[in-house]
Amino acid sequence: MERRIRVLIAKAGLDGHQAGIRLVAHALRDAGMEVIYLGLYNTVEQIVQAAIEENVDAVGLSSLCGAHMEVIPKVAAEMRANGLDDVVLIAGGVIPNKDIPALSAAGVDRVFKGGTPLAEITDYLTRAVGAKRARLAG
Amino acid sequence: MSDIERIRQAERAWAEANKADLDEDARQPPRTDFGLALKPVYTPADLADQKFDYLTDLGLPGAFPFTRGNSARMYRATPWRIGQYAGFATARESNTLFKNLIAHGQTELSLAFDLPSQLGYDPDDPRAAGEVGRVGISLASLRDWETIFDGIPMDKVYVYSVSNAQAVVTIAMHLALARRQGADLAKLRGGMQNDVLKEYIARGNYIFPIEAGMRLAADTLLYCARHVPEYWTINVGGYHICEAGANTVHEGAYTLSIALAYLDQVQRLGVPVEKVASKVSFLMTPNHNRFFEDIAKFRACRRLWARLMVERYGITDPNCQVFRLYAHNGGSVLTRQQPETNITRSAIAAVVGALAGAQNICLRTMDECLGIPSEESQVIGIRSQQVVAYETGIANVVDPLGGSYYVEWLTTEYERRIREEIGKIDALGGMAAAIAGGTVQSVITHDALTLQRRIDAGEVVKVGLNKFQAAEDKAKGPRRYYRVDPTVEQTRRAEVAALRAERDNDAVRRALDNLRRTAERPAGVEANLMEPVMEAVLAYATMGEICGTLREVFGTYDKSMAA
Repeated sequence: MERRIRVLIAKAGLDGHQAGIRLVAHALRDAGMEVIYLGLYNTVEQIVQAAIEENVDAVGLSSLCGAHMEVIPKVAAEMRANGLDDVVLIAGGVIPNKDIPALSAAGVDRVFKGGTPLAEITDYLTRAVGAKRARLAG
Repeated sequence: MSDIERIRQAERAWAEANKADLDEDARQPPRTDFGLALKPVYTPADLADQKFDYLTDLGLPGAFPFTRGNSARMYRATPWRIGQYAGFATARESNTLFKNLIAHGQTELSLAFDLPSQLGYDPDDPRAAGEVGRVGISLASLRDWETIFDGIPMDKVYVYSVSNAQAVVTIAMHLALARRQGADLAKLRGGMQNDVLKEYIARGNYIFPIEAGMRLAADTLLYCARHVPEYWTINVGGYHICEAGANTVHEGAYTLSIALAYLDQVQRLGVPVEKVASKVSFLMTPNHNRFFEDIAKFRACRRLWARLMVERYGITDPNCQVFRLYAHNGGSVLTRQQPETNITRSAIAAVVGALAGAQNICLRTMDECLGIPSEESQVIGIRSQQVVAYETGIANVVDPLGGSYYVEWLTTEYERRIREEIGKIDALGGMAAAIAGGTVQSVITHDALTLQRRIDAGEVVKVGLNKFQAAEDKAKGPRRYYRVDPTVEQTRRAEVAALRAERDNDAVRRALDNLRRTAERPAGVEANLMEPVMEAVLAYATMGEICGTLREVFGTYDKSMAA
């Protein structure tokens, strides 16, 4: 049987807004995924270390205080440096449209903005992780 | 036959005559946010079922139990204070902003700080990288406070600040500068959020363990009660509990339970609660999408708080019985789609706050879902409040909704349910214990999930998001929103370095040593931390140095327990 999708969810830096990310964590669990929520105030290194140790299929980051361009590309780079190229990276929160191309270029697979239905996030992760696994198997 | 009996008879006949219509209605009745089904209409019979009694349950404004308002004249004397929450990256930039907002008629400054400042890190701390000046003023020392209030007399403008875990430092800065400006502290009005308990369950900006947080809360309450009697020392953040997803009953119950926890803490130190009860005020949410619910919620909280002060502490001083309300509508009910629509949502929220008898009101701005508010959008918030205060006529009569069958019925429902939830927190040993056990966090998460599922299913309508959507190209909204100057972080690092080079570093060391020694003593009136923090602030010790010293003594909160 295929193993359940494992997702690491975290907030980086000092941003304390976690209502949204906790909802996402619950929705992913309800959709049958295993979720590791790291909570607040994580450094880039802590997040990537946890992604390695927990052997996750995806990492989700939340940012609502404007530090997304500082923190998220660093997580993406650190993931690549540690060989986590096959791990899906998603981000959400208050992220202006104009920053999305730069985040994509940095390696973020998908940005979810405020107001996204929870099902859209779970559906996306199911498909994206499935596609990565198929590629790896092929 | 009594009047009530005749009304019941008429209701039965009415229900019979409209049976088909009402049966269909009963299949899917509208519900409050906490799930209570609403009848199509309310009558005196509903109030009779609740044993409603005018004199006991309402009375008159300015008198126990204060359901109808905190004072006899309410807004006929003066409207609520207009307190838009604001702050740009630097003290200098914010000084200009505040002067402009005052010129536009803002009557209360509500200061926003950046995250490093709120978490006790200086701008040059590695943990502050990328966050300096992002969401508010970078506040490192008394020098910044001097710049913020350059040319702004603190005894003429009501100043409120959003500091919590490190509020002891911000209060010291506030009082030090007010004194230096020549203000009479015995008459100084203003306030501080300084509610650390909700940080652990909702807002997420905590530093120290709960016990140390409670000590700082009691210390600030006792110090301010003695030196600045008119100062709102703690403003309990039900707003954040609501924004974290709690329904309105839980918002009310947890807010009141947190306030009770602070008063109990003072009582444990052997001080009568009367000394500080009037220093604890409330920050809660008036949302446009729960119009009558929120009005009833506030009226219920006012009545219940007055009753709790009598029941729990035997308080007879009316000044210690009133529920002081800062009404601040939620950012989560706004939409990123067509942000101008948010102006309407917030204007309606101002009506809710006014009809509920708030002491001050802050409106979320249209651009909050894009970044921190621009000055332009803050001015729209001020103007919206002025329209409600000066054009609508709402201010002409006190508690104009008093006596509405629906509003009174709902007010009593709220009071009963909030009281019941407070009882559950009491049974867990009070709010600090309930948070340490994780119960409150679980309830809030459950409520948040319920709400989100209702939004996703379209049961809770958000115009432009899940109903009446515009095509993406027509949904862009305001083009100009506030962007932080990317050089701010560098400038701030240099400023703090310059401060460290200029000040009397021996005095700083002595003050921090004294602070450490006081913090190491057991909590109590003899070891109040306000005095040594004041000494450190006056020596220009930084936020990071003062909080760092306290971190070394108290440790930090174990985040695995947080919300």
